Amino acid sequence: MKTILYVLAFIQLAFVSGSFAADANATKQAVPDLAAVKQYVKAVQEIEKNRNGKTPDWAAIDAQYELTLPAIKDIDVKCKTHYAEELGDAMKKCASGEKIAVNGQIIGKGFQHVTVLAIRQQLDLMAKASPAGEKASKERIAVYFEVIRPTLARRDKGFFEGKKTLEAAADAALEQLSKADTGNLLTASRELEDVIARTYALSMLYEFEEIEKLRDSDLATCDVKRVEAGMFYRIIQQRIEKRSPKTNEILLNTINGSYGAMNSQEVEKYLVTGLGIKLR
Amino acid sequence: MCKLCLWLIVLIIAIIGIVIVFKHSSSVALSIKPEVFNISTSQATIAWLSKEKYKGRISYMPAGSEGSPLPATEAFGVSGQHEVVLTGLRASTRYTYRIGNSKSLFQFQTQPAQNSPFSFVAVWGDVSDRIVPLIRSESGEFIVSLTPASDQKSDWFSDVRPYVPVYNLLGIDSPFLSATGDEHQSGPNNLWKLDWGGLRLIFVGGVAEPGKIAEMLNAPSAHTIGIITSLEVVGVSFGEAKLHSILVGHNKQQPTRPAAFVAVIGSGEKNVEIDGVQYFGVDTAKQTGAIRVDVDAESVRAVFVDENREVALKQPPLKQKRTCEECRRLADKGAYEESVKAYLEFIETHKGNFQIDDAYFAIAEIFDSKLFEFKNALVWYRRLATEYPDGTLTSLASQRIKYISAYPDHDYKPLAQFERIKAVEFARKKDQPEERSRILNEVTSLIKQYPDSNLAPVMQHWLANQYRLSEPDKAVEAYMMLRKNYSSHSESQEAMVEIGETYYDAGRYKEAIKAYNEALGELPALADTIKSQIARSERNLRRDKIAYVCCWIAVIVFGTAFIRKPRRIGARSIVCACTAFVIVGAVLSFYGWLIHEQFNSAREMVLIVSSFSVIAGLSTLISMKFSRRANIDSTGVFSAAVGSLAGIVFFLAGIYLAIYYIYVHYLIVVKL
Repeated sequence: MKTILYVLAFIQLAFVSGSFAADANATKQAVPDLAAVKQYVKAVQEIEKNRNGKTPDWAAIDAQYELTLPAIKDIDVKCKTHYAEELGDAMKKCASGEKIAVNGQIIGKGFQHVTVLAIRQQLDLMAKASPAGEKASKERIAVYFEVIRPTLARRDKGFFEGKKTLEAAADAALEQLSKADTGNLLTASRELEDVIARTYALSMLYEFEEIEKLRDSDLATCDVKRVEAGMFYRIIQQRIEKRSPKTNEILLNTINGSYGAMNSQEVEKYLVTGLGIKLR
Repeated sequence: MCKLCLWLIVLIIAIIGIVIVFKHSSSVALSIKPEVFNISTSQATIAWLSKEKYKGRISYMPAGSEGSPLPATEAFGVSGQHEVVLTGLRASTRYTYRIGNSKSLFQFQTQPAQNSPFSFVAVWGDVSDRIVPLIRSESGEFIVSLTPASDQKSDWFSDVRPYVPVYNLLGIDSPFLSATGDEHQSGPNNLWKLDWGGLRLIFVGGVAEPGKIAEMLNAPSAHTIGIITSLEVVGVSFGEAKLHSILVGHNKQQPTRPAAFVAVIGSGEKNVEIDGVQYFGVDTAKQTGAIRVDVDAESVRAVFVDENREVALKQPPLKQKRTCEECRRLADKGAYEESVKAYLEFIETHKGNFQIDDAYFAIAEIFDSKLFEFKNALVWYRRLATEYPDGTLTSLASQRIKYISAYPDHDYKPLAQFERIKAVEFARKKDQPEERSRILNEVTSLIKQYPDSNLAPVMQHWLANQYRLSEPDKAVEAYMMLRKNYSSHSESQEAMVEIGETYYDAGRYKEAIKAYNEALGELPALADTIKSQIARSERNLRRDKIAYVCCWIAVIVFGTAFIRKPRRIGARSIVCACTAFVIVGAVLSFYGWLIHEQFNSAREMVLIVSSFSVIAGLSTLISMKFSRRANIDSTGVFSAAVGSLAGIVFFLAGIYLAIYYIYVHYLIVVKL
């Protein structure tokens, strides 16, 4: 009898220690990366806060930028972008007072694009990862998302009368993603991709609406808005280019065209065609 | 003891049993992986196998939509093979669905309408570990597997079958159809076709009758016809095979709907165009690979996903990459007339060239925004819109046509002068006050010169907007002029709101409220916006008044305490005030550090903490001074109460003023 009891106790112990080991393994894989992601997100948030303040401290911003560089360089290599160079250049120009309005937008929107690319990388990784790796990717996505959340909130305010539409959709997608397994991962990741695409398409549209308002009075601000629209478009361009190269060409022509020829209603029409989703 | 042990063992075994059964049942629920196939623009079939027999149910709805999902049940009775047909769907729409009460949500997308663009993915080799990210990142609407199902040791596509249909050279690649023995759909076909959007894809998987191939090439509703075949089946090299002569024969007969491309599965990667048919080789000898094919009405391209290489399978007519660099260079250096001449020469020598629409637009733009010759600009914009209605610049040209055509009066003179002022003079010199004033006067003269022009109200509105930030009174005057002289014009409709905004921006809230109230009567459609502006103006007015009152209270209390004799401040009072300053400062510094993210900047936080601390110190001093002054009763209770009250009043007034002057919007925290 005692032997049976010992055996049963041993089996239980094996189960318990096994589950602990699995947890520890998951933590071991996730923690260092997650810490780096958190460091990146915190640094970006600090940069944005400082940059949007009344008197930006460019030395402090540069110090924070150094912390984000590993993540940016990683994205540059994987996605064939040049953000390390581009953001560094914009940062230097801002510090020396050269076209701060335009270069500041390059920094802000550049970080958003890098973050979206990082989210997409994690979605790709998730699909072929072990359960522990999958869990780690889900956690990283949730942390990365905090960088772009303010943009969703701003678009909700501007396009949905403050009703949490995009933010709620994103939270639902993140929630779905956190529960998804390999079998239904695609549903959640597509939902998240759609919210991101919708947000940045509306952001681009917002800039065009602003240009329409300002083109007769403030060309300097229009130049900044054009840069912002272009940076937002970069985030969604890949999807539009894939679906419809012609729509991509039309939108690029519009971004680079004269202010007098810009029409936000036309832009919205092409964005809907190019992305294949409703914007509002 | 032994009995107890026995019971314990039974209990443990029972618990383990329950856990195993529970895990097993949940894995059964999770293991249902449906397949989607037979997708058209309006219907789709979802199928799955189950060990238990039941009648399959599905709930579905367009992805991202709100509301309750629609139910669908399979047509046949209870079985372990479930097939639910969803009908009444919308084209190019992604639907989310779940089986029964399962927690897993899946999605599929209906076929696009005839001319809508889409992509599909062709893969070969073992892609099981990358098929999910591939479908996610490449947005393929279906998969073509170039590896025969018989060569797959396991199902490589099981994770994506709920989302996209899978095809191979022989037909629909479906474990469900194979299991159910649906010969009609899953049986091997040497020759079969797939219609998706405006694409007809013909699969030649074995020796087929030429007549049947020719029949399939006849696709009146398709804008693009493509063939996927294997080299071994066709026979010898490109261009000499029998299939090629069939395609050439078809293209001669139907030049408007030619066979655009042939994907040849084999060991070569040769891309060659023979007699107008684009052949491209897919080297399936490589271990694994994926191609995304982007299909548009005018063009089709194959992108080799792993190699960052693309092949144009169908090009827009006459596409040649020739541009007029010299014409652009001339325009960039300001030689506009010469640039126009160079463009005209370019058009003459490159007739039928793809880049001609760009040249038309460039000429129109030079006339429009550089030379301000709007008649000529219109001619070229219209030419572009007529000759290239589907061009990528036509949308921009249409906007300019619309704008310029609205102001043709006086032979475009007011438009030319106004546009020149805006684009050249004002853009360059608006920051120089004297020049700015001169330019605005010039616009005023222009309005006086052409008061009946269609452009006059636009110019008047522009003028008012320019005055708005720098000279509010002149702006109001200009808006009033707009209302008076051009009351029926659309620009004047919201002039009263803009007058309100001008006063609001200038901090003249009483006048702003008056203007807004007037606008409220005129524009009931904007009632909500105007009311919120009135509320904001009233709030700001209230804040100003409170600040004014607080200022007086602070001065009176401070004056009463220190100006009237005796003015001496006791050492004890100073110690108390310093203590209050230090304690409040320390507490606020700590709390501020905790919530530092709520502040706009560190400077602002330091200002608030230090001003609050100073106010606390002064309030303590005032309290003590008042206590001593009011020391009229023996117990000291009354004097303490008076002192405290004076201190509190001064403290509240001081705090309000500090927030008001440091960052007024923080008053929202205290609902002020």
